[in-house]
Amino acid sequence: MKLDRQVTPDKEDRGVASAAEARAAIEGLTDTDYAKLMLIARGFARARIRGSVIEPEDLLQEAITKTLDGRRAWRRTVSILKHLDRVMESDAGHIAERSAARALEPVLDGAEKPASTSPDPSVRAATQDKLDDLLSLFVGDDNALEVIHLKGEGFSASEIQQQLGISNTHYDTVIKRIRRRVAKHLSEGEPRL
Amino acid sequence: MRPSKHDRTKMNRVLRDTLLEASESELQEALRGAPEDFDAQAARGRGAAHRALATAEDSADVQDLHRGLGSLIKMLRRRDCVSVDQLAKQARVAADELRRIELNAALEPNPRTIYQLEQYFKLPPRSLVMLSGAVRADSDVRAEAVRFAASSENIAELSQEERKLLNRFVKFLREHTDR
Repeated sequence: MKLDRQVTPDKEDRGVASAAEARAAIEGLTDTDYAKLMLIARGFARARIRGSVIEPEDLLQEAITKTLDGRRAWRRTVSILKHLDRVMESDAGHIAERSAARALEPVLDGAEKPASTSPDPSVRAATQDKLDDLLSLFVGDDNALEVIHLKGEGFSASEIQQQLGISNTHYDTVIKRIRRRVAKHLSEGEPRL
Repeated sequence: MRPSKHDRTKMNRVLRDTLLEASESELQEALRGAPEDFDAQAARGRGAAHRALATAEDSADVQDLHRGLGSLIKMLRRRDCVSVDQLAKQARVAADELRRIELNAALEPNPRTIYQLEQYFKLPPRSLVMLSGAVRADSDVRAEAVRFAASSENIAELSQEERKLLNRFVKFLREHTDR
């Protein structure tokens, strides 16, 4: 309960969960939730660039720590799982960008340093490509790609079925295929990148 | 046609969200035969969460001690009728850091500042070191620090009650550092 003290009334007004609520949500995660989060953390860990390795456990631990200490505010309207996913996505992106920028820095003598550590757009794009490799699993699977695209646009399951002219059963089959393929891919051995 | 960068990011989020909605049996099935099965993944995730929860607990404990530290410095300063700037000059520490120690429990105080303040106020050796979180403090020290911080009030001159409170807390710290 003592963690409550870190939360200001302003934050409560914006729908941000208190530290105690965040802690309760984390403590309430099930083994299934942890397995999913670890799989996703493994996926982000594939974004290692030139010797910089992100350990999946570290990424997840950091996301939870930041949520508990308020550095990453958890809005109650978002599920805690989705929130942790987005924190890991953001952290992995920053780590990969910094790593890529370092790899591109010229070897400098003396104290001279580059003016900015922010990577140029091409580095940012290359980094994002490495983080986005899940989509490549569905190349050639037009049904799945259409469903993924429409879900991304915010359509509900019934709207997607209507748009694509597919039955509920067909839709469920596609969703199950997506889950199976993503889970299998993320559980594979050493990262490929 | 290849989706734009923005669309790819969005679609990858959809893929991860779809995984997050999977049932236990779907996940068990998908991970059958994988190098690390469902139980192994869950154990690793749970371990990471336990470590994060323990870190958060430690951090909250230290902040409790810092609240006691800030209140103690402020009260000692008021007892001696010295301003932050005067104290900074006499104890040879930075005034900005002193202000932050009094106000911000999240601040990690500089060990030299803590040593100088301990010497200046003639406090029991290592008493402020303990409140700075640099050495491990018992749970009763943390509880006493929280009580002390909550009881001290921000008025110009120490009341008789506050003086008693201050003396009692310093005595408590002496007993604890003498152990």
